[in-house]
Amino acid sequence: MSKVVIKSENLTKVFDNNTRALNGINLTISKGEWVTIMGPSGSGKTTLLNILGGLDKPSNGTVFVDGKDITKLNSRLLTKYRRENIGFIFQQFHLVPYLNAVENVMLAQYFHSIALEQDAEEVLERVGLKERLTHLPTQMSGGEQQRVAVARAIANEPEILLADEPTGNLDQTNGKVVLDLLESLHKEGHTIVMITHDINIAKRSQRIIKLIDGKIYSDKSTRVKSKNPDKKILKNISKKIGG
Amino acid sequence: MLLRLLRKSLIKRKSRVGIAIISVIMGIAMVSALLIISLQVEEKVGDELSKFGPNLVVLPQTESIEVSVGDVELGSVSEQQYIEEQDVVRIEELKYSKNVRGIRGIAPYLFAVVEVNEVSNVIMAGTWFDQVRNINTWWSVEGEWIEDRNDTKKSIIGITVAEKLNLNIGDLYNIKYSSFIKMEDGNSTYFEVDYTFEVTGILTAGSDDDNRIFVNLDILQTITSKEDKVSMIQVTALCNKCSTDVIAAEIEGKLPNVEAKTVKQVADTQMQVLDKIESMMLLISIIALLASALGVMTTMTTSVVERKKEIGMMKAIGAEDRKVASLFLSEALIISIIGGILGFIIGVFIAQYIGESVFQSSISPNYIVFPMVLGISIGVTIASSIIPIRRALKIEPAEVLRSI
Ligand SMILES: Nc1ncnc2c1ncn2[C@@H]1O[C@H](COP(=O)(O)OP(=O)(O)OP(=O)(O)O)[C@@H](O)[C@H]1O
Ligand SMILES: [Mg+2]
Repeated sequence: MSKVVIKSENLTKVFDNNTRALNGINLTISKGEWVTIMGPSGSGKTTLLNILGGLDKPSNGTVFVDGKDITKLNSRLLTKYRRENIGFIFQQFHLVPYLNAVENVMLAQYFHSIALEQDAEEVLERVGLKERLTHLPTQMSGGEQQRVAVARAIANEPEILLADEPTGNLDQTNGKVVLDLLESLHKEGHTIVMITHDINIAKRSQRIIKLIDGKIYSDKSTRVKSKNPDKKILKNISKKIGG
Repeated sequence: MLLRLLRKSLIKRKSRVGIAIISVIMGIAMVSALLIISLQVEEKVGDELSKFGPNLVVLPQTESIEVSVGDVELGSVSEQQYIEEQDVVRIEELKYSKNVRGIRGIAPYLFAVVEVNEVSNVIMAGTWFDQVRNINTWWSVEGEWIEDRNDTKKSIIGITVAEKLNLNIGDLYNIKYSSFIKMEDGNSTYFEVDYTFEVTGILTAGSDDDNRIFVNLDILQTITSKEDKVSMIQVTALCNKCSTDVIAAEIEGKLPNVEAKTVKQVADTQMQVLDKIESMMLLISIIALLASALGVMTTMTTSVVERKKEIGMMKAIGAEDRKVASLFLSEALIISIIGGILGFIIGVFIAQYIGESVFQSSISPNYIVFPMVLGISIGVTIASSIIPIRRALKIEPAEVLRSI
């Protein structure tokens, strides 16, 4: 059993308008895990991710990251927590439109400590954008933009990557490129929590947590099938029979 | 990185930034013009004022002064008939008074009647020529002025005296001064002094001064044994919120044994006009600065609203408030510096225009004004950026990033 990175207990979020977005979430994520959160629209996925990432505070419950309760942090320390522990990847990319690829990555370095152009270029190389260093976001495809965003997220070597529908704005080909990238980051040992609506995308992660109405409906490992070959065979047989 | 970020963001939003800069320029141009003019106002108005001569004359409190009585002995020569020379210094202190805008000149005079070349009685005046020159600007002196207060030989003689006694520049002449001096035992003793002066200048003043001989105050005090005494002091003071009477009253308050008379009221009206022009310009400047502030505030607010997502993203990825604020503050700083420089340049031209139309003379820009207006520009711009910046800092990343 590897080290626990995130542990939430009885996480509840009630918004001002009395919407109960999260309702008692107990969740443990280990170091290096790649977790997908799924669930219908409005089930609380983004709310959960925001709280884990220190962008929002729960109404109740605790979130321990590396053993520290982040729900107790003031906003300055929470900002520090985000800066040092989290890499965010957004569905909308949220690149700064007037900065080129390198500068967008340098921005994250600048907010973290100091911006080093060479390091930023290396990170972009890692995400396969060696040829796009000085391109502005408008001069790049959606996939390329999202890869810049991934580069920005990993520029400061955060422990945890949080991605809210990272492929939501991408076509299949571009989505695959970004997923391959996440997979390699996972293999490098990053802890990744990702939201998606697409089961095929979710299957590439290790574990799928399904939320419904702010509660965990299911929490399954995607490798379960290989452990239980009988079911798979059964399925195939039933297909052949046409039943 | 900050510089790179700023440069790119400023270039990207040229037109907005341009509007902010223009609004700073307008305000700063007005303020620059005002400051340039105010700093030169003393001088300009002083020049105007000097055309009318002194506006205050300070006399000893007793009526009789030696000038009006000639060399006739007075029964009781009291000390009060003279003003102490040190009173000049006290009058000079007036320049710190709130009623006084500045002092152009203070000229003490000691008068004595002397016999020239054993034929004619002439009034001799001892004074400070450097001061006289500032006060009686219309004096036309053929030959040379007396530059050194300690000179004991030179004299400037009025044109009438020169004609009557047939004296020319370079000529030497003798004077004889005779008077009674009060001894310590209370008795008066008669004494005579002979002395030789050289004519170094001939004065045409168009007034009584043409009938006089002018020498240094010091030497005449020595000749007449009236050390540290003066008969009269001429003052050209520029008043604030004018009435010269106020200054006169102030002098009398300071020096109990003198009488200060206002001479010319023409200047008062002039100064009042000037005061009005100045307060009007001050008002315009304040309004212009407020307009600038509003312009900057609007631009900055628009900028914050437009860049809400960008700011939200920055905060989400861990940008400290300090760094987000410095982004906008630096932007404000750049706007204020560019606006300040251009505003100053335009202000110089406005000052020039006003100078020509009001004073009929050109105004040379005083470069002290530049750092002053740059400071004002930076101050106003930064101050008006504070509200928009606070707004930027209040942005909740979770909220702005959620909405698509
Ligand atoms: N700031 C807010 N104020 C009030 N209600 C909110 C706020 N944010 C989210 N909600 C509500 O909380 C619930 C959960 O929202 P959340 O964004 O977490 O859902 P989601 O699972 O991410 O949905 P989607 O798949 O559409 O992104 C929704 O009913 C939403 O309307
Ligand atoms: Mg969502």
